[in-house]
Amino acid sequence: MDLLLSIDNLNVYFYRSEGVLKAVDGISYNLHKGEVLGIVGESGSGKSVSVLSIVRLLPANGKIVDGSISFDGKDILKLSMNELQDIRGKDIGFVFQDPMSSLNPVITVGQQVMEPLLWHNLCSREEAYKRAKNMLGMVGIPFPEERMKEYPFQFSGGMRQRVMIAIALICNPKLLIADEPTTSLDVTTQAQIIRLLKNMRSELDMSVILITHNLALTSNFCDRLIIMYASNMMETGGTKDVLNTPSHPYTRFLLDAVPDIEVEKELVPIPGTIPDLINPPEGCKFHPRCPMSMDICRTEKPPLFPVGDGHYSACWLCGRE
Amino acid sequence: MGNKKRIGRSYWSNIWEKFKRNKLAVFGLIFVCILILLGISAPWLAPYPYDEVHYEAVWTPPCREFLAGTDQLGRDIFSRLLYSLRNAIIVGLGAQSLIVVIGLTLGLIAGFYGGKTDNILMRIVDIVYSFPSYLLNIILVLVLGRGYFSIFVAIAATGWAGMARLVRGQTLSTKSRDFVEAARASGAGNNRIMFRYILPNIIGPVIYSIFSGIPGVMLVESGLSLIGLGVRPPMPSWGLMISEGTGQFLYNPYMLLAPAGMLVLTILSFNFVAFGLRDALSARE
Amino acid sequence: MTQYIIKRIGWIIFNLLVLSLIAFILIKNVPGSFLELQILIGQAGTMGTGLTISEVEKVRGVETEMMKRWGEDVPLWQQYLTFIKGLVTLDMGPSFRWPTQTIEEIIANTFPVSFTIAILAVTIAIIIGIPLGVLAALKQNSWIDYLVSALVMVVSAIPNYVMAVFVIFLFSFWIPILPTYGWGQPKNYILPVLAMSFGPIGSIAGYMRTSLLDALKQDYIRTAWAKGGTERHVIFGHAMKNSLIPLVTILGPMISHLILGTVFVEGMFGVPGMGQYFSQAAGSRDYPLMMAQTVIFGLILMIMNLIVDIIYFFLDPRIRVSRR
Repeated sequence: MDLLLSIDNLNVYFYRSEGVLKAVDGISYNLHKGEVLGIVGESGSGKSVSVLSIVRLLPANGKIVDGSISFDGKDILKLSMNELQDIRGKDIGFVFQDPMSSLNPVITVGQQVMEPLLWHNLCSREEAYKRAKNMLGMVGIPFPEERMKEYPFQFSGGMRQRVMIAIALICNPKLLIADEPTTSLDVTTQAQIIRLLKNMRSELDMSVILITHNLALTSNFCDRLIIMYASNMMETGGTKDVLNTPSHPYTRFLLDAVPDIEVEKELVPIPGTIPDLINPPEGCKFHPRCPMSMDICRTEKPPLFPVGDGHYSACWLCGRE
Repeated sequence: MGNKKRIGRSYWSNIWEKFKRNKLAVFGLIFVCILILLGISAPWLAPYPYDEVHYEAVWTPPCREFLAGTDQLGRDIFSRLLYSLRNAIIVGLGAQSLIVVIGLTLGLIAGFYGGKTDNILMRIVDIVYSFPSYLLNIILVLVLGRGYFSIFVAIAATGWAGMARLVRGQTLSTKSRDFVEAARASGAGNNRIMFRYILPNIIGPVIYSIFSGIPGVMLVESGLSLIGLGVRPPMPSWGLMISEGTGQFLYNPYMLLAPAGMLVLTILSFNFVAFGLRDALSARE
Repeated sequence: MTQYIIKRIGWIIFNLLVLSLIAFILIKNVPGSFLELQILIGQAGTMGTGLTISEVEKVRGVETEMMKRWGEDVPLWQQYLTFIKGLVTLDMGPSFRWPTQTIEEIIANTFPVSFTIAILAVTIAIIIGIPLGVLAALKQNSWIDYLVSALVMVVSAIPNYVMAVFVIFLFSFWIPILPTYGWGQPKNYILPVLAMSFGPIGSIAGYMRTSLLDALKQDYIRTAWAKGGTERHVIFGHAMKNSLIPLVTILGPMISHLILGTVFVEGMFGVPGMGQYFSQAAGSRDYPLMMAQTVIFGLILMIMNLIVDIIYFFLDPRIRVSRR
């Protein structure tokens, strides 16, 4: 498979009044054409920041201080604003977490879906109208022509997220980034949205990065997983490998926290809280909460150790032969 | 939030920390304190009585003897400025206190009891809101006669509605919070809940509203005295001094610039404090 | 919507009745009367500040008309009813201070003047204030931003009667191209409008800056960037729309405030507007005119608020659709 996206040693810092926050602390990964990558972690683990960096959409106080991002052969960090705007929305589509606040409340849904086409001068207004109508139908919005005249607040949460997806897909992007697309929705709608993303992926033949804090959503959608914790990559590998043979203690905790309808089991909350990222713990970021931590964990940051075919884990337990 | 009964010291020190970071606001606060001190001590600081005429020295430009010059009757403008400041502060604080007392009481009652009481009170607020407040101010001063008290009443009669609306909104949102429920469950009476539990929690926005309202009150007062309805002469007021200075602007510009400058300075410093308070209060979360 | 407007108009009528009653009671209790004051002025030998001799003659002429309406032997409730009836039928009788004119004539003559000045001042404020505020917001924390913010603060602290003096001074002595006093020609409007537009420029620029900064922080703006929008698309196609809508809510009160809040400025420039007539009416205890003006101004204020709400209704789809 061809390489679409390659991130190497990405470091993103946030400059706050309290100090410098390392939101992404040296992560690297590749994404191939047609591949679906899941990035999983608790809120504040840096997973959103890592993908917002791909289109340089960080808040004003956030800065990419080191690393390189290469998308479709282009060095993202060296692009001019114009070149970047050409990629945003056209080659990379974004779906955000909260579909209510992510859609402009005073602009019609139709206009908002058509905008990426119009802004990139891809077609005429009439053509854009037709394509938007078709796209809204494809993402499962009944009576798309009537609903294009309506405003976001007239849509239900799930329908709004479908509109967001239509906006992200309208230009037929090479990469779709879905940043917690289901978090603000109820459980049945969550499943529908994931199913929709899955269908659209096979229909439009694109790559997808799905960001979520819910491991259960990844199992039959993602090809590969990255587990993030406190700005660091903890584990990465094929979805089956990671879910069936988790090698990092943090991944195991995440798996234990997933409720399973079939097997009755006790939900285990992870002890402790996410560390303060302005003054993060030394060594492995997870060691204060890790039941298996050793002396070395407190002082040295573990590299990614291979634990299987394309399966890596940043844990000293895996590095001990 | 949990079961926190009342706002602890940390709440205020937190706001103070945020406030302190805003240099302009601190500067404004220092200035407001100085102005209030000057106003209070005007009778001792003023080099001349405000109504002492010096016919031999009319329209003297600022000099060592008369720091800000003299007016058409040879009265010392510097002394008159101090007394005007005193006036403005008395009117500002007096009228605002009246506004707070009326607005806070009615707002608390409306927000706390809700239902019919709320409906009726808010209807009254709406009506007062739709009145041409400046005209009513003028008419009320005419009815009550000139003087501090009538100016307080005239301004508060229309000004309380805004405060009541603010307090009602705050009370409504505070009423449903856990610690109020807890207090009720432990048998606290209505008055106790209102004044011991709700009031301390809404006091922040109220203080902001007091500070941001004072400049408006001062402007209304100077407007009233501009058309001869402020405090009774010869007691000076900025509005009166400005209207006297207007005609003299070409020949003795200091007669206008001094009172106008003081008025603007005072209003600016209160505004700075209000802006700082707003930022400190809104950045709480 | 029609139902909503009808309900609002109902409340306006109710509010006006309350206002007229309050105004009536208050004004009836103002110490001193018009004729007493005129006699006092006459005795002091300062004819000319009050009525002229020929006007006093005319007062005598309309005295019977006035006595019929406001005479001592007419009971108060009847006076009130006459007052209301006069308002409704637009037959309010002669003013005391200007006995040759009826009140409806005075209002018909003064209202357009004040209204034109207010509208012009607000228009100028919009034309200058909005770009200033937008510029400050887009260049947040730059020297432009600080300059605009400082300007907003200073300008909002200077009362317009002080501004008027500066404007008069500037144009009568440094750049003597415009008339600083008098009325009748279009160019007479320029300076009063200018003097009164400073405050609104400050408030509009300040409001625009805050509301655009607020809009730019919203999630949907991030979406617009993510869709590949240029600054033009994102700021003028999206953020401006969201931040301009609430601006309407401050324009209504601003206009009604300007119509009357200009008592002093009108006096300085010799503008025959509502404000000047009101302060003169108050000074000479011209009750019929004061009462009528208070109610009329209340009416203007309430209609302004209604218009703002109706405009807001059409601008903001959230309200429009939910009320349909």
